[in-house]
Order: sequence, then structure tokens, then C-alpha cells
Amino acid sequence: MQRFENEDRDDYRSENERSRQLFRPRARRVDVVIYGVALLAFCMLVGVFVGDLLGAVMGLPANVGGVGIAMILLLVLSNLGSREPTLGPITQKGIGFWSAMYIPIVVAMAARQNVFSALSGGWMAIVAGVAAVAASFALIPVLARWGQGGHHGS
Amino acid sequence: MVLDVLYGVLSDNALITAFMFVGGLVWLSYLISEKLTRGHIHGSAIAIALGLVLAWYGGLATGGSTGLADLPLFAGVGIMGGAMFRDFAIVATAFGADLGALKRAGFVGAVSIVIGVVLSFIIGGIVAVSFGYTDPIAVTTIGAGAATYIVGPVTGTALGASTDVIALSVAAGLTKSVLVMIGTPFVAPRIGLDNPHAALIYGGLMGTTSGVAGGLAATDPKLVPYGAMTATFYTGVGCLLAPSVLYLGVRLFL
Repeated sequence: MQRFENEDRDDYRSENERSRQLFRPRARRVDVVIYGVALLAFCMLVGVFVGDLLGAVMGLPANVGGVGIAMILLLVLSNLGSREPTLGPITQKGIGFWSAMYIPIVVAMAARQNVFSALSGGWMAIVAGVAAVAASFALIPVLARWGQGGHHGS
Repeated sequence: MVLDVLYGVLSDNALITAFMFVGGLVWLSYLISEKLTRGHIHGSAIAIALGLVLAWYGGLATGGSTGLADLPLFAGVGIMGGAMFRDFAIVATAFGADLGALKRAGFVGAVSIVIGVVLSFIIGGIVAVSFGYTDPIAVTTIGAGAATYIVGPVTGTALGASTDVIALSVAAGLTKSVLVMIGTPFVAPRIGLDNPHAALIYGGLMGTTSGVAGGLAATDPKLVPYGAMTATFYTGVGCLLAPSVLYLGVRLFL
């Protein structure tokens, strides 16, 4: 809609209207990195807040789905525009940077795990952990096939 | 004197030191991946494994509970790898994810969370019984620990388990988390973990946020948002089921 206005605005607009255009350039969108970072922060805080509330409602001392809710919120907010992308390219960089920092952050996360305690918990703890992982791995193809079959018939 | 000043600079700017340190670790890992394994083992898998080894050393050297971050020089690793930055980066990976794939797998994803909790709980409980535990509270707590290292202590505290049983449940959960981080890239081809759909189910079955985050990072970072989506509900579901329904189930058998 804005695009059409720009094309013929010089022809019949009053002086008053044109000066308002000068002071308020609606077509130009501010595109800065911090908008992306702030949007990401907003989504995460809302998600964690809702997750904590859900936990409190169920009487659990745990966050229920906070990160998942934040991810859905980010996906929805960044796909609001129907014709043109909602976020400018520089704004997107503010999110892209943190997405790219994911692996280094996970490496740091690995380096702060309580590995020593895991390995010194005795054989029972290790066997329980290993068996649970093995069984869960084995079940992935079963559930994946079931889900695909149910929805696509393939 | 120079060393003292250097030590002061590095520990005063802990987070920046961590950026540099992790950067070096990643560089070394990619070098090892290329030279020693000819690219067969992905650099990020090696970096995560090295991180875990360093974490083990940190625990050995200091007796603390946050691995390498317990050494004052590496305190920043604790910030960088803590839940705040981890969750921030996980949410960021969702940008550009396929909303359609999330919707399509919604039901299977939800089912996989419940199955994942119950499966890990039963396996953990069976292991506890086979190691001679007969007290329903202890068996439930250890089973809950096999879900995640948060579900274990939450359940144990709710049921009034002894501290050594709670410690065991945490150890079981930690073992699971570490093993998921290391093992995922190796089993991924065999279990078909190469698409968003399978990643959603993987996240729901594994449930350990750190394990899933690390495992998918080393397998295919594009799959992270899907696995993280379901994993984020797992601990909540576990805390809900373990001290209630699952505990009652255990009491039927013991």
C-alpha cells in the first residue's frame, strides 16, 4: 500500500501533507542490530515467564516449556508480515549472531557439566543413565515411522 | 608480577576470557577433526567431548559442581555455558525454522515426551531394583533421575528420599546427559536422526536439555530448534508424573 502512495504522491498532495511526509517518512524502516537482539530477548523472557507460571500453576519447581514457547513466539513475530519480511536484514543479523554462537555456547556448557560427579556416582548411576539413553535411542525410529505413517501415509 | 597482572585481567574479564578460550578450543577441535580423523568426526563433536573432559578435570581439581568453571580463571565459561546464554542461543536457532514441521509433528512430539519420561523412569527403576533397592521411594527417585537430573531431586525431595539416593539420581541424570551429548552424532545415521520430524521425537524421548543441545549441535545444528522444542517440556512432565502416577505404579510392584 505504501509503495503505491510513493509513486503518485507529488501529483495531488497538498503542501501540508507533503511536509508531514518529510517529518514522518513512513516508508523507511529503521533497521538496526539491537532490534533483533531485543526481539530475541523479549521472546525468551516472555517464554521463560510463561513457563515458570505454568510450573507454578501445576505446583512444580520447574520451568514448563519456556524455551519452546519462546521459540514459537519468535517464529510467529518474525513471520507477521505477509508480503515483505517483517525484519530488516540488519535486524536479522542481531538474531543470526546468537544462533551462530549456539555451538560455542554448547561447548562452554559441556565444560561446566558436573562430569566428575556423574562418573563417581557409582556403577548403578552409570548403568541407569546408559540404559535409559540406549532404550530412548532405540525407540526414535519406531516413533518416527509411526508419526510419518499417521500423517502422510508413507 | 606480569603473571599476576595477566591473571587479574583474565579473571576480571571472565566472560571475555571464556569467549577467547572457547574459540581456541573450537579451533583445536576442528584441527583434530581434520588432521586426525580426516573429517570423519565432526569438529563440534570433538569440541564438546574436550569440554566434557575439561569439566571432569575441573571437578577433580576443585571438588565443585560446575566443572571447569570452578577454576577462578575459567569462571566465565560458567556464565557463557549457563542456562541463560544456552536458552538465548537455542531460541535464536528457531529463527528460520519450519513452523509447518512443528505443527505436523505436534501430536507425536507430545506423545514422545510422555513415552520418554515413562521409558527412562522404568529403565532407571529396573536398574535400581537389580542393584538391590527395594524401597519404593528410592526406586522412584532413581527412576526419576534416569529421566533428567532435575526430575530426580525434585521427586526425591517430594517423596522424602535420603540424600544419598538423591545424589545417585542426580548422577544417573548427569550420565544420561553426558552420554546423549557424546553418543548422538554416532547413532544419528542408524536411527534416522536427519530430519526435523525425527529431531522432535528425539528431543521428546531424550528430554535432557543440555544433552539434546549438545547432541544436535554435534550432529546437525539445523535440527536444534526441533529437538529443543520438545525437550523443553520434558522436565516439567517428568516432575509432574514421577512423584505422583509413577510413584503409585512403583508401589503396586514393590
